[in-house]
Amino acid sequence: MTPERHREFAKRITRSLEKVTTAEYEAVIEACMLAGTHWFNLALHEMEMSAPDHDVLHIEFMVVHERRKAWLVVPAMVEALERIEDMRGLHVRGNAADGDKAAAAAVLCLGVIREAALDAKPLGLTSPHLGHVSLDD
Amino acid sequence: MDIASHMEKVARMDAVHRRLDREADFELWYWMALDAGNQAMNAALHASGITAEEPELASQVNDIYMRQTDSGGWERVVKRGADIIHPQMSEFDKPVPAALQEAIEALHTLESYRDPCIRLGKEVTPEIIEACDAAYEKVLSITREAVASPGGAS
Repeated sequence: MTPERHREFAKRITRSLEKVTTAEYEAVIEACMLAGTHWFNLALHEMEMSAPDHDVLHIEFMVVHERRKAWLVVPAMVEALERIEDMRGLHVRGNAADGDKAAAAAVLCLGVIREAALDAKPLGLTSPHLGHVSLDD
Repeated sequence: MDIASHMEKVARMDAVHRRLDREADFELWYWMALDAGNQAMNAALHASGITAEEPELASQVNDIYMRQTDSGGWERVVKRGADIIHPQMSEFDKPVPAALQEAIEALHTLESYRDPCIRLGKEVTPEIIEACDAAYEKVLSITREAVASPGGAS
């Protein structure tokens, strides 16, 4: 998906996020995951670290070397999205305590990812097509 | 997770789903239906004796669960037969009753719109919204009945 479409999706989902409260913590965490993943993909595309036809669905499903490169370049963005994803098992699928606090933290993480995406610029690295390895190869 | 906790989540997620605008908020409207449907499915599978109410919480990966430690932290463990993540990614060790199979297929229908519409930018038409809504209501109806019936779905 193009960076512009990712931006549109992230903004739409963020508008929906504003309609729920941290008492509805599952919705907040999921909205942060969805919008955050669109910002994350936008950042990788803008930095030319991933091709527009290669999007990350969930950060923990990234091929290890691609996740490592992204972390070396923008560690805060990678760690923020991983933190949101880690909340899903405990607070969305599960019933761990303090879901409202997790939701508030997820919103802060989303802000970190968004800022990184808005700052993203081409890095002049090797074309992602050349370094991409698929498990289907 | 126990049935009561699953159904408590269904109630909260369903309330958000019904409050959101199905067009302007399609992504979160849809996602809350997906999450609520999956929680309700877990409750119905437990009630029907197909999977077990276990204290461990499902992660993003099949068979990896989060277990609370004595000190209150969380550790990852590998096990089978507790909460599922997605029905189409699951294997069941016991036969699934026909009614519940119908709910699983409805959940599959709902899930079939996830990647095209949420992640790949496919245009969301009124027909797609109606199809999602019908599938979700079917999942809820069957699973709630299974949870309310002694012995679960038949």
